[in-house]
Amino acid sequence: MSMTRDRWPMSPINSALVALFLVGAVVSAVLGHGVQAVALAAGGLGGAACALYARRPGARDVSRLNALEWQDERDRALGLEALSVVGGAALLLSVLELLLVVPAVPELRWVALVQTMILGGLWAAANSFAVRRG
Amino acid sequence: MRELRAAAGLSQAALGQAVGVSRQTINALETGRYDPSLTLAARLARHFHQTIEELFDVHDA
Repeated sequence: MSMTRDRWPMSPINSALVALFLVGAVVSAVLGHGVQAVALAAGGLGGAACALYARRPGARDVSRLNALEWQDERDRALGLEALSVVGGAALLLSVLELLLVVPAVPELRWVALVQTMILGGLWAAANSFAVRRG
Repeated sequence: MRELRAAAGLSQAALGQAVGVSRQTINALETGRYDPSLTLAARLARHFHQTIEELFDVHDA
Protein backbone atom coordinates (compact mmCIF):
# COMPACT_ATOMS: atom_id res chain seq x y z
CA MET A 1 0.00 0.00 0.00
CA SER A 2 1.26 3.42 -0.71
CA MET A 3 0.11 6.83 0.31
CA THR A 4 0.32 9.19 -2.61
CA ARG A 5 0.17 12.57 -0.87
CA ASP A 6 3.39 13.96 -2.23
CA ARG A 7 4.38 17.58 -2.60
CA TRP A 8 3.16 17.94 -6.19
CA PRO A 9 -0.44 19.14 -6.04
CA MET A 10 -1.90 16.63 -8.51
CA SER A 11 -1.38 13.09 -9.77
CA PRO A 12 1.11 12.35 -12.58
CA ILE A 13 -1.70 11.58 -15.04
CA ASN A 14 -3.46 14.87 -14.29
CA SER A 15 -0.16 16.75 -14.50
CA ALA A 16 0.45 15.22 -17.93
CA LEU A 17 -3.10 16.02 -19.12
CA VAL A 18 -2.96 19.61 -17.93
CA ALA A 19 0.47 20.09 -19.53
CA LEU A 20 -0.83 18.58 -22.78
CA PHE A 21 -3.82 20.93 -22.87
CA LEU A 22 -1.69 23.97 -22.11
CA VAL A 23 0.92 23.07 -24.72
CA GLY A 24 -1.93 22.55 -27.19
CA ALA A 25 -3.28 25.98 -26.28
CA VAL A 26 0.10 27.63 -26.89
CA VAL A 27 0.59 25.82 -30.20
CA SER A 28 -2.93 26.79 -31.28
CA ALA A 29 -2.30 30.42 -30.36
CA VAL A 30 0.98 30.45 -32.30
CA LEU A 31 -0.81 28.99 -35.33
CA GLY A 32 -3.49 31.66 -35.07
CA HIS A 33 -6.39 29.47 -33.91
CA GLY A 34 -7.59 31.75 -31.14
CA VAL A 35 -10.85 30.03 -30.24
CA GLN A 36 -9.17 26.63 -30.10
CA ALA A 37 -6.37 28.07 -27.95
CA VAL A 38 -8.87 29.53 -25.47
CA ALA A 39 -10.86 26.26 -25.39
CA LEU A 40 -7.74 24.18 -24.72
CA ALA A 41 -6.47 26.58 -22.06
CA ALA A 42 -9.88 26.52 -20.37
CA GLY A 43 -9.88 22.73 -20.52
CA GLY A 44 -6.43 22.52 -18.97
CA LEU A 45 -7.18 25.01 -16.21
CA GLY A 46 -10.56 23.37 -15.56
CA GLY A 47 -8.89 19.99 -15.26
CA ALA A 48 -6.31 21.40 -12.87
CA ALA A 49 -9.08 22.96 -10.77
CA CYS A 50 -10.95 19.62 -10.60
CA ALA A 51 -7.76 17.82 -9.54
CA LEU A 52 -7.01 20.37 -6.82
CA TYR A 53 -10.62 20.22 -5.59
CA ALA A 54 -10.47 16.43 -5.38
CA ARG A 55 -7.10 16.55 -3.65
CA ARG A 56 -8.19 18.78 -0.77
CA PRO A 57 -8.53 17.25 2.70
CA GLY A 58 -12.04 15.92 3.30
CA ALA A 59 -12.86 15.48 -0.37
CA ARG A 60 -15.45 12.83 -1.20
CA ASP A 61 -14.08 9.54 -2.48
CA VAL A 62 -16.17 9.76 -5.64
CA SER A 63 -14.66 13.19 -6.33
CA ARG A 64 -11.17 11.68 -6.11
CA LEU A 65 -12.12 8.83 -8.43
CA ASN A 66 -13.72 11.16 -10.97
CA ALA A 67 -10.63 13.37 -10.93
CA LEU A 68 -8.13 10.46 -11.07
CA GLU A 69 -6.68 11.59 -7.76
CA TRP A 70 -6.39 8.26 -5.97
CA GLN A 71 -5.35 8.74 -2.36
CA ASP A 72 -4.90 5.19 -1.11
CA GLU A 73 -5.27 1.50 -1.91
CA ARG A 74 -9.08 1.55 -1.74
CA ASP A 75 -9.28 4.48 -4.16
CA ARG A 76 -6.96 2.58 -6.46
CA ALA A 77 -9.01 -0.63 -6.25
CA LEU A 78 -12.28 1.23 -6.86
CA GLY A 79 -10.78 3.33 -9.63
CA LEU A 80 -9.38 0.31 -11.45
CA GLU A 81 -12.70 -1.51 -11.08
CA ALA A 82 -14.56 1.44 -12.59
CA LEU A 83 -12.01 1.85 -15.39
CA SER A 84 -12.32 -1.85 -16.23
CA VAL A 85 -16.03 -1.29 -16.83
CA VAL A 86 -15.17 1.62 -19.12
CA GLY A 87 -12.64 -0.56 -20.97
CA GLY A 88 -15.14 -3.38 -21.40
CA ALA A 89 -17.78 -0.98 -22.67
CA ALA A 90 -15.30 0.60 -25.10
CA LEU A 91 -14.37 -2.81 -26.49
CA LEU A 92 -18.01 -3.85 -26.85
CA LEU A 93 -19.02 -0.56 -28.48
CA SER A 94 -16.08 -0.78 -30.84
CA VAL A 95 -17.07 -4.28 -31.98
CA LEU A 96 -20.68 -3.14 -32.38
CA GLU A 97 -19.46 -0.20 -34.45
CA LEU A 98 -17.50 -2.58 -36.64
CA LEU A 99 -20.48 -4.92 -37.13
CA LEU A 100 -23.38 -2.46 -37.33
CA VAL A 101 -22.13 0.97 -38.35
CA VAL A 102 -19.45 0.09 -40.89
CA PRO A 103 -21.85 -1.68 -43.31
CA ALA A 104 -23.96 1.49 -43.38
CA VAL A 105 -21.02 3.93 -43.46
CA PRO A 106 -18.12 2.15 -45.26
CA GLU A 107 -15.87 5.22 -44.93
CA LEU A 108 -15.53 4.41 -41.25
CA ARG A 109 -14.21 0.90 -41.77
CA TRP A 110 -10.52 1.65 -41.22
CA VAL A 111 -11.16 3.80 -38.18
CA ALA A 112 -13.42 1.14 -36.66
CA LEU A 113 -11.05 -1.69 -37.54
CA VAL A 114 -7.92 0.02 -36.21
CA GLN A 115 -9.75 1.17 -33.07
CA THR A 116 -11.00 -2.37 -32.36
CA MET A 117 -7.57 -3.87 -33.01
CA ILE A 118 -5.88 -1.35 -30.70
CA LEU A 119 -8.41 -1.98 -27.93
CA GLY A 120 -8.07 -5.76 -28.34
CA GLY A 121 -4.29 -5.49 -28.31
CA LEU A 122 -4.36 -3.30 -25.22
CA TRP A 123 -6.63 -5.79 -23.49
CA ALA A 124 -4.24 -8.66 -24.23
CA ALA A 125 -1.25 -6.58 -23.12
CA ALA A 126 -3.03 -5.54 -19.93
CA ASN A 127 -3.88 -9.17 -19.17
CA SER A 128 -0.22 -10.20 -19.62
CA PHE A 129 0.92 -7.31 -17.45
CA ALA A 130 -1.62 -8.15 -14.73
CA VAL A 131 -0.62 -11.84 -14.73
CA ARG A 132 3.08 -10.98 -14.49
CA ARG A 133 2.44 -8.60 -11.60
CA GLY A 134 0.85 -11.37 -9.77
CA MET B 1 -11.64 -1.69 15.00
CA ARG B 2 -14.31 0.91 15.64
CA GLU B 3 -14.18 0.19 19.40
CA LEU B 4 -10.39 0.49 19.52
CA ARG B 5 -10.50 3.72 17.56
CA ALA B 6 -13.17 5.16 19.83
CA ALA B 7 -11.25 4.05 22.92
CA ALA B 8 -8.20 5.85 21.59
CA GLY B 9 -10.30 8.97 21.07
CA LEU B 10 -9.56 9.10 17.36
CA SER B 11 -11.86 10.24 14.60
CA GLN B 12 -11.96 8.24 11.39
CA ALA B 13 -10.09 11.05 9.69
CA ALA B 14 -7.39 11.10 12.38
CA LEU B 15 -6.89 7.34 12.20
CA GLY B 16 -6.81 7.53 8.42
CA GLN B 17 -4.14 10.19 8.60
CA ALA B 18 -2.15 8.13 11.09
CA VAL B 19 -2.04 5.08 8.85
CA GLY B 20 -2.01 6.86 5.49
CA VAL B 21 -5.50 6.31 4.10
CA SER B 22 -8.65 8.36 3.66
CA ARG B 23 -11.46 8.77 6.18
CA GLN B 24 -13.72 6.91 3.76
CA THR B 25 -11.38 3.92 3.75
CA ILE B 26 -11.48 3.72 7.55
CA ASN B 27 -15.28 3.90 7.36
CA ALA B 28 -15.39 1.16 4.72
CA LEU B 29 -13.13 -1.04 6.87
CA GLU B 30 -15.26 -0.51 9.96
CA THR B 31 -18.47 -1.32 8.12
CA GLY B 32 -17.01 -4.39 6.41
CA ARG B 33 -17.30 -2.97 2.91
CA TYR B 34 -13.58 -3.19 2.18
CA ASP B 35 -10.95 -5.82 2.91
CA PRO B 36 -7.56 -4.18 3.49
CA SER B 37 -4.30 -5.21 1.90
CA LEU B 38 -1.90 -7.13 4.11
CA THR B 39 0.21 -3.99 4.41
CA LEU B 40 -2.68 -1.84 5.60
CA ALA B 41 -3.92 -4.57 7.95
CA ALA B 42 -0.46 -4.81 9.49
CA ARG B 43 -0.19 -1.03 9.78
CA LEU B 44 -3.53 -0.81 11.57
CA ALA B 45 -2.71 -3.75 13.83
CA ARG B 46 0.61 -2.16 14.74
CA HIS B 47 -1.12 1.14 15.41
CA PHE B 48 -3.45 -0.50 17.94
CA HIS B 49 -0.79 -2.89 19.34
CA GLN B 50 -2.84 -5.89 18.22
CA THR B 51 -2.28 -8.79 15.89
CA ILE B 52 -4.06 -8.81 12.55
CA GLU B 53 -6.23 -11.71 13.72
CA GLU B 54 -7.23 -9.78 16.82
CA LEU B 55 -8.12 -6.70 14.83
CA PHE B 56 -9.87 -8.32 11.87
CA ASP B 57 -12.34 -11.17 11.63
CA VAL B 58 -10.37 -13.49 9.34
CA HIS B 59 -12.37 -16.32 7.76
CA ASP B 60 -10.92 -19.28 5.89
CA ALA B 61 -12.33 -19.30 2.36
